[in-house]
Amino acid sequence: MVFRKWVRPVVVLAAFMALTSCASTKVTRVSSDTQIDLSGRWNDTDAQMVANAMINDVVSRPWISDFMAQANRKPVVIVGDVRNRTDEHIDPVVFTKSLERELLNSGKVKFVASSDERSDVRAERASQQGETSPETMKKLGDETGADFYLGGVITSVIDASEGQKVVFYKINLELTNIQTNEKVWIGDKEIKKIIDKNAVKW
Amino acid sequence: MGNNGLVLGCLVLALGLTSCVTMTRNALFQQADAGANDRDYARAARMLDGPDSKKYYGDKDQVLRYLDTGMLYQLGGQPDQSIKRLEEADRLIDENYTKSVSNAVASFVLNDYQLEYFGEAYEDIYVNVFKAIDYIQLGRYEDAGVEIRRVNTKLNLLEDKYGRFADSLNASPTARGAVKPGRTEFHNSALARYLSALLYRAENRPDDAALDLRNLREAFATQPNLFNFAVPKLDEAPQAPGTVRLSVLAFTGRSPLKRANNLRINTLQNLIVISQQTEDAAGNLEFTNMAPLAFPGVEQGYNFKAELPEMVLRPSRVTKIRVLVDGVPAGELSLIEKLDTIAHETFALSQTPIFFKTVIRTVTKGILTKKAKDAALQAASSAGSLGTALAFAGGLAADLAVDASEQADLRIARYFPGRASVGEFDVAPGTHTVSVEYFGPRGELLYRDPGVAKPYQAGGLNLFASFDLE
Repeated sequence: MVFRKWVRPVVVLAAFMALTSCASTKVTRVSSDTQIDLSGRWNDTDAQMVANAMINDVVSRPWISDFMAQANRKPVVIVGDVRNRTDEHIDPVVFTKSLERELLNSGKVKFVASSDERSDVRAERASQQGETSPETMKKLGDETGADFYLGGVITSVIDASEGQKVVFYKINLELTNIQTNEKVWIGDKEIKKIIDKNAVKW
Repeated sequence: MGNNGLVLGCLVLALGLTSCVTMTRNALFQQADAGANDRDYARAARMLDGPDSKKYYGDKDQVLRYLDTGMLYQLGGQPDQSIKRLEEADRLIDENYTKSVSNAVASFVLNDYQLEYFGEAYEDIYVNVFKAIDYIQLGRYEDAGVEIRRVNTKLNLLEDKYGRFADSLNASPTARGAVKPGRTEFHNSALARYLSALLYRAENRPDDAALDLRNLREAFATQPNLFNFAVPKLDEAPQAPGTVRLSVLAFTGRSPLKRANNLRINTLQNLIVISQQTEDAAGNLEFTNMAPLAFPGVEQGYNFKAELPEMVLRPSRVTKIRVLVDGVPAGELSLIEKLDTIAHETFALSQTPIFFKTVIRTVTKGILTKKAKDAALQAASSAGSLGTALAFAGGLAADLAVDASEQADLRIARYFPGRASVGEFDVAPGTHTVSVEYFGPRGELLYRDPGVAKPYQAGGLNLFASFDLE
């Protein structure tokens, strides 16, 4: 009788433990533009913020109107290397894709595929020769050449004291006329982050 | 004194019994070390990284799991596997440090080895140096540059990091401001500067490369206790036209280990017994001293045991390293950094807090155990001689339990090398086999790294890394 009195709570406890152990992983979906900072390191929010600000700046400068007055067409830009000189492993693709998207969405310039992407496109075009119907086959040697090259560097300075870490990122981008090597725009954007290690709870 | 004689006899027997079964953490690694000694790094890595990993590393020692296996994969020529593990070690060092600072009070109650391990200072620095070498092997120079910049950032913040840890300990009511932060001379790594110069050279930025080589020389000038040898001759001779500059890095010896040393004080009526144990090479604790000392006025029943880690070097027998290109001697390498000396010197940063914590913990435990034993004896005295004997046996068991709970934290990475040497040679562009010979003190050849045929091209970074960890 005493044994039976104990059976029910033990079963309930075991069931509760089993259920809670199964529910240890919780996933919440959030909008991709939600700002989330876990470690304080460079993340997609930083990439997006910088790309937005810098492209807004570059497309509002007079080099576009100067070029259009001279060539009577929109300038063609290629997004090149953005060098990482920080002490974090930053995936350059995330940042350069953000730049490309902002540049294209501005509607003020055209841009061509980067050198990595071009080789794939060229391989595809080469494979079309002789294999694809003449009406749809794309011609060789008919690529659009870029007028300007956009490249730059991300640097960072770190300071820390009393459990607080301050990371100062500086992003420098330059737009260079490919024909003349003339720099037509230089822009920079700074981000300062304060990471409070004492705020981390375990 | 008759009663004291009986108690002393029991004490000797009890201490003898504990010494028979006392092995330290180091004894666990004999097989893995043997694999590394045979240069079968894959076998050693599999042993430590496989399903039996928990035998070697507890939940709180995961930093060491990733440091050890990361280094073994690098030694075994698997840079991608090495990067994954060293990156995890790097992340955990940072995470565990934050936990330790916010949980400092616990370290006055618990032994250090029961707390999350956040790495020795030198492990925190060299994890990035060796990751940089992995990235260079994979041709990912930008990532290698990230690692070198991390080294410099960590070096700039090194004393601050340990100062903050001491502050967090002092915030505990038990410490009462007793914990002093350790100091170190180490603030500039010549090896990291050299790797940085190589990366700048590969990017065709000679001014930046020259600046790093100047910083390398400064490391020798400003840290004479750590760099008490000649500055290697680098980049001094202009590169012969039409040649490729080949950089060779060779690592020898092993990083230091920690061994346990303990001191125990037991008190009898008007007598103290001092005993000392030290760890042998196989990881066994052996009695090295035991002496009774008349001490009038001292009370019976105190038991204090303090066990502290000592860092011991594992020096290399290599005295000369020669490089051969396609079987033809090209020259010798020069020492650039004594990683083991730096490990030993920077150990002072954590050693000082360890010492204070151990003393405070030992004294607290000793006093509390004595009070508990006295209370038990008093309660048992009414139960006659059998009760007193049982209480005495219980007291002895309590002392042994306290002894067992007080162990030195011997956690340390095992497979970092002890020394780094470097040399540069101009060779014709094309495929070459670079081999490295390691010689002992009598000129005897200890090991020959045969190398493999590899293309060396102008304009890139032509680094050959060789290891002889003996």
